[in-house]
Amino acid sequence: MKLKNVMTLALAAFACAPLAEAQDAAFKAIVLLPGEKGPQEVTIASVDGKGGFQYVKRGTAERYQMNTSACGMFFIPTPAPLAEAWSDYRSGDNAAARKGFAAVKKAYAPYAALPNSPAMQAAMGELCCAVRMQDWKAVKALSASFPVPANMLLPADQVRLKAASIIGGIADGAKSEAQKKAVTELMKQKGVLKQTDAETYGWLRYAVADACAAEIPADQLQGTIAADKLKLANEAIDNFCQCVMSSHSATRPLPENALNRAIGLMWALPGVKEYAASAPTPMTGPAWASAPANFKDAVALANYLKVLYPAQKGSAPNELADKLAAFYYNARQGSSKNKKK
Amino acid sequence: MNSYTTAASVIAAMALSLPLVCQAQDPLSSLTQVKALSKAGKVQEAVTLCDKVLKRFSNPKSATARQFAYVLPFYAWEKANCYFQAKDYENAYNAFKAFTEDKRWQDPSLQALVKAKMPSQPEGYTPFLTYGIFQMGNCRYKQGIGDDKVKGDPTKFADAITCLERYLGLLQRNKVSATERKQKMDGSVCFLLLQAYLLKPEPDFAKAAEYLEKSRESRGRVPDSMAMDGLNTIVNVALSNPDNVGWVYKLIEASPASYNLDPARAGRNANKFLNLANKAYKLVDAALDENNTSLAADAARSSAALFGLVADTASVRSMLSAQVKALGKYNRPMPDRGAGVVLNASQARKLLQSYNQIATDNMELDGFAVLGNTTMAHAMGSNRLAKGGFQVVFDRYGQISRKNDAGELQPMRNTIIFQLAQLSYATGDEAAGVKYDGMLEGEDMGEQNKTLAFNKMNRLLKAENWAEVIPAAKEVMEAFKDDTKNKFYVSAQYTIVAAYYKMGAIQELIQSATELLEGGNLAPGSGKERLTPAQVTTYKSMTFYFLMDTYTRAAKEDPTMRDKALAVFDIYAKEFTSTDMKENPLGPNMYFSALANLMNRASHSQDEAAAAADNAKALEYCKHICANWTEHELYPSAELMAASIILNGKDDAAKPAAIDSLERCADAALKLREGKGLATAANALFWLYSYSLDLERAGENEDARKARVKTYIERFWKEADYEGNAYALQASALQLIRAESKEEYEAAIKRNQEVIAREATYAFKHNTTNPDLEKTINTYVDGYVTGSEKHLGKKLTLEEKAQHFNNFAGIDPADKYTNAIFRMALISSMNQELAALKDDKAAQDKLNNDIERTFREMTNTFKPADLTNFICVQVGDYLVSYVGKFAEPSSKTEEIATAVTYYDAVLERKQDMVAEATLGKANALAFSADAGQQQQAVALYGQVTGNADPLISGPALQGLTTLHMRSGNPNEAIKTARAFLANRANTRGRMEMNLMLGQAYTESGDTKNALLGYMNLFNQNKGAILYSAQACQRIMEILWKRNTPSSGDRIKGDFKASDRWNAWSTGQVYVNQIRKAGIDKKITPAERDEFNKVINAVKKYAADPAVQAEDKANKAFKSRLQK
Repeated sequence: MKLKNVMTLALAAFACAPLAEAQDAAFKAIVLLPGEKGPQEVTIASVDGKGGFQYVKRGTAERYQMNTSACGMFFIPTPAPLAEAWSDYRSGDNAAARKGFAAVKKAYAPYAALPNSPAMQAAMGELCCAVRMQDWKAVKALSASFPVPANMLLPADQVRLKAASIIGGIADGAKSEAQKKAVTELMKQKGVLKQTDAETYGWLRYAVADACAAEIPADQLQGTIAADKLKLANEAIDNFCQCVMSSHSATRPLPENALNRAIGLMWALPGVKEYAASAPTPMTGPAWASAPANFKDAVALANYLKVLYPAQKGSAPNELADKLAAFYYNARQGSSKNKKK
Repeated sequence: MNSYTTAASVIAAMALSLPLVCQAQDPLSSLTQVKALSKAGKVQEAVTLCDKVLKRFSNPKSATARQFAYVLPFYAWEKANCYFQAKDYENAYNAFKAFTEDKRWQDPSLQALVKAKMPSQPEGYTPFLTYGIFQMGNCRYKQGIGDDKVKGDPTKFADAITCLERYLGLLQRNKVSATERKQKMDGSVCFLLLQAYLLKPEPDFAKAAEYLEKSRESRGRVPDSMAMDGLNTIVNVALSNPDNVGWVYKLIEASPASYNLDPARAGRNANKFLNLANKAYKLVDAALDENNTSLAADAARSSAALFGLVADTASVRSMLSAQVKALGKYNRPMPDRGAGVVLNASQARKLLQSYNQIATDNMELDGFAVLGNTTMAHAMGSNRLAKGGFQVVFDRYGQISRKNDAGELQPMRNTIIFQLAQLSYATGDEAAGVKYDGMLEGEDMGEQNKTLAFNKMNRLLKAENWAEVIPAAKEVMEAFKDDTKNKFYVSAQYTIVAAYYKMGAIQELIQSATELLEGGNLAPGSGKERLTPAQVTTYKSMTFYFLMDTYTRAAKEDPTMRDKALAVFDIYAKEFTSTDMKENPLGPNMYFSALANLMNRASHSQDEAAAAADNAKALEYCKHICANWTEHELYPSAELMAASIILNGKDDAAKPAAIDSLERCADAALKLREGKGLATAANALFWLYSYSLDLERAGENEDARKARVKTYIERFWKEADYEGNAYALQASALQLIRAESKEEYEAAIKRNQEVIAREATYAFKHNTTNPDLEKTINTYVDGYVTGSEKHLGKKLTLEEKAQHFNNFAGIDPADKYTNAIFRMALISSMNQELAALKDDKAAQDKLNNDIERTFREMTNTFKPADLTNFICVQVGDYLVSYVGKFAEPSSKTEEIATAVTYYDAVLERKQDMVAEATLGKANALAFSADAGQQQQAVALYGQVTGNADPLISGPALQGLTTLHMRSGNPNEAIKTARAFLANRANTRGRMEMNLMLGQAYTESGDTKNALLGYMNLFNQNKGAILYSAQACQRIMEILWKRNTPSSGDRIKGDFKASDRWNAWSTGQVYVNQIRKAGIDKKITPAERDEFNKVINAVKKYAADPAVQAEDKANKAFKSRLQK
């Protein structure tokens, strides 16, 4: 284990101290204007939505016209409220983050059409929060009224926006075939797959899963899924599981919800609750070996939920997951003895 | 670099403004020299020089010393710094300690002097006084962790903690210099403390957590690299002790902002996160193996938390591109204060390049994070999540690759497809499993080839592709050839046996099953690679069953195979003694197969005692099934067989028990699921209806018995009848025969009509024929005609009969077979009527004309071209059978010719039924009186006597023998009869052939063989009156004709009775035996005729004087002997 010179690292952040100023109320950018030797901070007076902007130099009142593409550098420092919203977002406090993003989006709306502008970032952050919070109506509304055209977004965000509009279809009760088609068509578009981040891919799987599950009558979801709906149910379970795994544990609420819904569907598969009614607790090796595959997978999903998404303070008890997880049997036990050395 | 980092840089700056005093004694130039020596690695020289200067200018009496005293703290600091740079942390610690504790440097006047002398450094050396405390802690920390050359000494962390906590206290109380305050080192110090607390001999995670939290709240950002070092420490220390594993998760969750970075920052550390996550995952794996579920859960949470930190390639590239674009040509660091980061275009470009390369090489780290999580979910038992994960990897990172030891990119696609295939099967998605397996066809998957081979075998097995499953199973055996007790190897062996069984490959099945049963691989073992006892039981019992059933099937060709089937059963029964279905799952099947074999052997046995023993054994097996497996679906059949054995046995007293068996059989069969037992129930109820009238039950009078019997036929129609019911036709016919009143007659006629129509339609739809249809139609035609007169008082006219039978309700007009049978049945009925008209010549002529007309109509209606090959042969056979009923069949030339046209139609088409048609045509022509046609028949018979099907070759030999006899060719008849009898597959008509052989020998003059043959038949089948009586007659005739007189002397003991006395005595003894056994009371009219012939012959021979005299002498001699 190596530890670098602590002070060297700690002090590196102070090399450019002169440029670090408090954020003014006015919207400022640091630009390297054509013909200038070094960057300077200017106040953005207006933007034209096509990369063009008017600026005012420090200590002057005169407005100049410029285009971001003509600048040797066009950098917008992150406003503190936006940084705070991102921090909340990355810390998992989606409600606070969403509120923060909404405020930033509103405050910086006039300057939205600048590259990677704070309003643009905030709008995307707000949309992501809405998805994570499963507020499908908001997702639909936010994706439909995104403040800038999609082509101005970063490549990964462009895909996010499209994915959000698909998952927002949940608000309208989208059908499985339509959702599958929308996802397939999105993925078929050139370059989209490489620009899709894991969380966004998880959204798409969730969208398909939700649409499949929505076609199963409620009484069957509460009771036992009929034979003609088993294909849909399995498709829903598989897509929920893909959503969970796609997140690779980076985010919590949506995968957790997907996992819970997959468990609910597994429970409604024929034979699962019937087997659970007579299964021994805890399970023994022979009982586990002869138990139906769907029962075992329902139990494994419940155990996974309890281990990797432990109940948070104040959350409601998850009776089904608790009930199923009680049957968990570690089929791997003793397998080290069988491993080839 | 900050100007306060080294004293040398400060002094170097000062030197420019200070007067040059003395080169030799110049403390400033010496400090520059110290720095140069230190940089050159000459630490000791640098330190010596510092000491020299300190000593020289420490004398308060010296004016020079006093003049330059204000620079001495810088030498003292630089001395410590030299040791620090040289990684001599012990001396550095001491030097920093000496510095911070040196009272001279605490002197405010000295500090003021330095500040005055050095206006560019407003705080002078004051920051060193507190910063030295940090450096002391830092030295101890570095001693604690060690480095590549020096092993760490964890005991040093205690000092490190003391110093660092002291310094942190100063920082937090604002007791440090302004310069230090500006540096905002709180977070960094917290991180060092966090690590020190974890790395000390007894890690203190609670304190570590406290400092992690403090680092978040502290002023100033913790550099990412430091955060990573901290994380590294956390993970490594935590994973080294099971009690601490959960801390990784807790610490990361407690301080998300420290690690949950924006993609561009996280992207720099993704590889580290991934490595740490994998490290934690290995612990999950080991803990699961050890069944330490608590540790596994902690490690899983920790591993997942780390996998979750791995930045996503798409997001990283997107954000880095944005940064590069925003910073454009500006290559210097650009702080983004709001975000708390310093951006750097060249670094961002470099990192973006790396990520672009990662994407090009298909080595996306997030892909590996998904894979890691997937593997973990699988290890934790979730096939669904594992399938989901592999699906995500397949869809999103389809070409994901890793570098092998040689640094080459190695695609993982096949491994992922392989996993998807396995998991698809495991989660019941067979189609997906097949799809993914198909993608790997022809790929070299190393060890996984074994699984692929096994999957392929299973796939073919499920598809019941028996021909291809055998080579697939052999591939599995080849893959596991080094471990023949491996469950996959044995499973493949078993699959081969099962496939041969399904294919009906008798020899191959016998060989493979014997190898499996006797090869020693079929044994339970421990471990996942071995068979469980339950699997061994299943494989073994199934193999026994396959073997036994195969021998049973082979017995149709070779009756000796039945003995082998029973021998297999004996071995099985010794091994599988339990009646528990878990331990003996095929017990009922095996016992049932055994009893069926025994009954079959008994029915074909010429040895009455052996047959009786077989039947007794079969009954015992029936009872074993009935006593132990009443829930099994073979139970009703076992009851049925028990009833059959009892009913066909000689023990009349036992027969009422058969009724009980049949009742239990019907009840149980009707309870079987999905109507599986309907046929058995129908059989039982039909037998109950057939036999029960003659079987008395204790305490039951005749009326009660009749009422009970009536319930059987009611239940038969109500509970056990169905389309295609094999017993329906017989039951309806019997009901008609038993009709005693007008109501019963009408009900029976109605039932017959319905059943005939239904079953004829069923057979027609299924392009088959029902042999009972003909019998039932005959019964119906007869019953309908006679019943009409008897119960309704109406004699039907020919027109009425034709109207009824030729347009029978419910019979499809296109069903030529059934309609033809009706026509023939009508003709039969008319013939019977004709026979009854003994003296009424006019009526005879009329009826003869009617018969002729009806037959002509029939043959006109049903042209061979209209009929299928099968029906042509059936109609032809029917005509031949019809002709055969006449005393002079050869007189029926028109019928013979018509029959030949039906057979010829089949022979001309040269499709199926050719052998049957050849045989039928030969039989037809054999009836002809024309020598040419007889020769033609001989030739036709010759074509089929070698046919593999005994149902063709047997009757052909019978027909040929009969023809040879009829055409006076007994020597040829002997050959063909012997050929018939030599083939044990010819089970029907053996006794007739024995009689014919005897006749042929007689006609050829070989009385010795004739007698021998008759004697065998006579002695072995006395109970079969029809044959034994005929054999007896022939023996008597031959002996009577041979007429060898008696010879020898009674007293001497060489007396031989005369042939004629023997002829008489043979008949006499036979008649007495039959009468004594009471058999003569139960014989059929045909048997009665033959038996009466023997009685008549005995009477006739007994009247012969010579016989009487000899018999008298015999009796007298016996009488004398008794006296």
